[in-house]
Amino acid sequence: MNIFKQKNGTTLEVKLEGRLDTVTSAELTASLEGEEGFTDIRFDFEKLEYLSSSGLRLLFAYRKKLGGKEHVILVNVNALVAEILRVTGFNQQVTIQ
Amino acid sequence: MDIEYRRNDKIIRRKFYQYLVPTVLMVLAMQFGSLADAIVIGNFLGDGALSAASLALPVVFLVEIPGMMIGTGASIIGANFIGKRLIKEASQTFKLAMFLSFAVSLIFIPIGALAGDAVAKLFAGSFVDLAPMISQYIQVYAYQAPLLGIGITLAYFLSSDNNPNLGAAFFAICNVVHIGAEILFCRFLDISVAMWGVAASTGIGMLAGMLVFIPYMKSKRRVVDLKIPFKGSFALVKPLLRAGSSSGALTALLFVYSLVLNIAAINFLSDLEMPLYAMLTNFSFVVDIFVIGILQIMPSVVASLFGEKDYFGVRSVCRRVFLLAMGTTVVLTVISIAFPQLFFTIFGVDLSALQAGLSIDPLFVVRIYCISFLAYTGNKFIVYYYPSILKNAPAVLDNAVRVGLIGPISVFFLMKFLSISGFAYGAIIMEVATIIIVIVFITIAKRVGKYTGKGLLLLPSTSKNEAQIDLSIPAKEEEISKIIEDLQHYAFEIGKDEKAAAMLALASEEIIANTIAYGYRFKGGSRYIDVNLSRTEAGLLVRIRDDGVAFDPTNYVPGDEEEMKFHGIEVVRKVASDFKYLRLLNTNNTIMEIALAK
Repeated sequence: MNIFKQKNGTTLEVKLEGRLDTVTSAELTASLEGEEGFTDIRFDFEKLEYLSSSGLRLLFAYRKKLGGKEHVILVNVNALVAEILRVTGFNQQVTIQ
Repeated sequence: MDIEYRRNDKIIRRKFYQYLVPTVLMVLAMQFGSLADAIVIGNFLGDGALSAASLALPVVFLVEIPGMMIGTGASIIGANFIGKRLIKEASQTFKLAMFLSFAVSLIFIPIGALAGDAVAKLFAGSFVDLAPMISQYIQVYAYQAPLLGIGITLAYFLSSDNNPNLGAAFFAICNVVHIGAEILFCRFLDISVAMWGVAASTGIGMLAGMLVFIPYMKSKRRVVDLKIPFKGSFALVKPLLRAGSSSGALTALLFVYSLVLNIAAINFLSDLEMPLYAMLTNFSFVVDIFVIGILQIMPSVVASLFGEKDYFGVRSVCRRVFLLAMGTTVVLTVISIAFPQLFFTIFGVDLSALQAGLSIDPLFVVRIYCISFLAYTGNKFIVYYYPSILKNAPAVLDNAVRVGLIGPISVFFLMKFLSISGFAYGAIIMEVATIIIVIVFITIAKRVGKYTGKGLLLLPSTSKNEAQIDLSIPAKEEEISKIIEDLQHYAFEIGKDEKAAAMLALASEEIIANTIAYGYRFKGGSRYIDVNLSRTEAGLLVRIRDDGVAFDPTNYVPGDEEEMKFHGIEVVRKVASDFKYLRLLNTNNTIMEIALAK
C-alpha cells in the first residue's frame, strides 16, 4: 500500500493507494505515529481497494483521539469501500464527504 | 481459474494420527477377547474342546440375535431422540430395549434345557466324542441369554447417550474378566465339566461389564431419565425393530453361515482335520484385532468430513486408512505364510500329530487360508467406508453376499470335494468374489444413475468444480495480505459479485488473522489453515478450519465500550448473513455465509 501524507494547516491529509488490511494497517499506524500538531485527519480513499476491520479500528482510534466524527473525514470514497462502511455501520462514526 | 494455494492434508493428517492410536487401542481391548477365547480353550483344554467350541458357534450367533437387533435399533432411534432432546422418548426407548432384549432372550432358557443335548448331538454329527462338550457349552449359553441380551443392549445404548467411552469400556471390561474367568475355569475345573465354565465366563464378563452402568448413572452427559414411566413405551417397538433389522439380519446370516460350515465340517472332515478347521475359523479374529481399529476411524472421521462436504479430506483419510489397513494385512500375511507353525503354537494344536496323519501338509493349508486376509480386509473396508458416506447399500450387499451367499456355497462345496484345503480355498473365493460383486454393483448403480461421484469412493469431484474451491493457506502473518487478496479474487470468480467478495474477504481476514496471531501462537512446525469457498443458493459460503487453540468466535462477547462495536468479530457478525462454529475432530471450523446481491 502506498501512503501519501501532507500537512495542511491543522489538517493531516492522507492519501491511500491499495489495500488497508491487517498488515498494512500496522504500517499506516506506524507511519502516522510520528505526526503531531493536527486537529483533523482527512483520508482520500479514491484509490483504496479494500478496507479491513483493522483499518476500521485505526479510523476509530483517530475519531477517539481527535474528539469526534467531525475530525475524521473521508473523501472520494469509492463504491466498494462505501459499502464496507455502510454494512459495518462505520459510516455513522466518521464524516464522509 | 489459477489457484496458488493447493489444498493439502496437513491438518487432516495430524487429526488422523491423533485419532488412530486411541481407536486402535480401544478396538484391541474390545476385539482381543474373541481370539483369546480360542487360544485359552486350545491351550488349556486341548484340540477336542477347541473343535467343540467351534462347532457350537452357531448357538452363540443365535443367542446374540435379540441383543444385536434390539441393542442397535435402540441406539439408532435413541440417538435420534437424544439429538432432538426428546428426553421422554429416549428414556422410554432405553427401558423398552432393556425389557425386550431380556424378555425375548428368556425363550432360549427352556430351549437350552429341553433341546440342548439333542442339538449338541446334531452339531457333533459323527464326532460323537465332542457332543457332551458342545451340550455343556450351548446349554450355559442358552441359560445366560437374557444376560447377554441386556448386556449388549446396554453397551450400544450408552454409547448413543453421549457416553461412547463407557460403551468401549463395557466391552474392554467384559473381555478382560471373560478371559480371566475362563483361564481360572480351564485351570481348576475337571475337563469333563470345563466347558460349563468356558461358556459361563462369557456371562461373567458381561456382568462385570455392566458395572459401567454406575458411572453412566452418574454421568452429567446422560440424557436418559429412569424416572420416566414405562407406560406407553410399546408404541416404540416397531420403529426400534425396524432400525435394528439390518444388524439383526447380519447376525442371523452369521448364524446360517456358521451352521452351513458346521454341516460341512462334520460331514466332510476327518478327526485330524477338525482341530485345524477350528483353528482356521478363528483366523479372521487375528486380522480383526490389528485392522478393525484402523478402519474404525472412518465412521467418526470420514462421516464428519463428509457431512462438511470436505471431499478432499474424505479422500485423504480413506487413502491413509486403506494403505495402513492393507499394509498391516500384508505384514500379517507375510508373517503367517513364512511362519505358519506359529498358529499351531498359539492355539495349542498338535502340529506333528497332524503332519503325521494328514495326507496334505497342514502348514500348506494355513498358508492358503492366509492369502484370503488381503481380500478380507478389502471387504471390511467396504463395510466401514460406505455407511460413513451415507451409502449403506454396498455395505449391506457385502455382508449379505459374503456370509449369506458366496461364503456358505463356496466353502460347503469346496470342502465336499477338497476337504480341509477346500475350506482355505473357499475363504479366498468368498472374500475375492464378494469384492468383485460389490464393485460390479457400484459400477451398474453409477451407470443407471443411482450413484454419482468419482471412482469407487463415490465422492463428488472438486478439482474441476468452479462452484467450490478448496485450499490450504500457510499460517504466516507476512502472507495475510496476499492470501486475503487472492481469497477475494476467488470469491468474485465464484459469485460474480464484487461487494460480496469484499465482505467475504473482510470476514475471512478476521478469522485467519486471529488464528495466526493467537490460535497457532504456541504451536510449533509449519501450520496451515484450510479454506473452503463455495456458492450456495443465497450467497457465498466460506469454511475456515484450523487445529490451533480451541476458540468459538460466535460465543465471543465484546465489551460495552463503543469501540468494541468495531471489534473484528462484531464486524464479522455485521457482514455475514450466517455465522457458525463447529468443533469437529478437535479442529476449529468457522462457517460464514455472505449474501449475494439479488
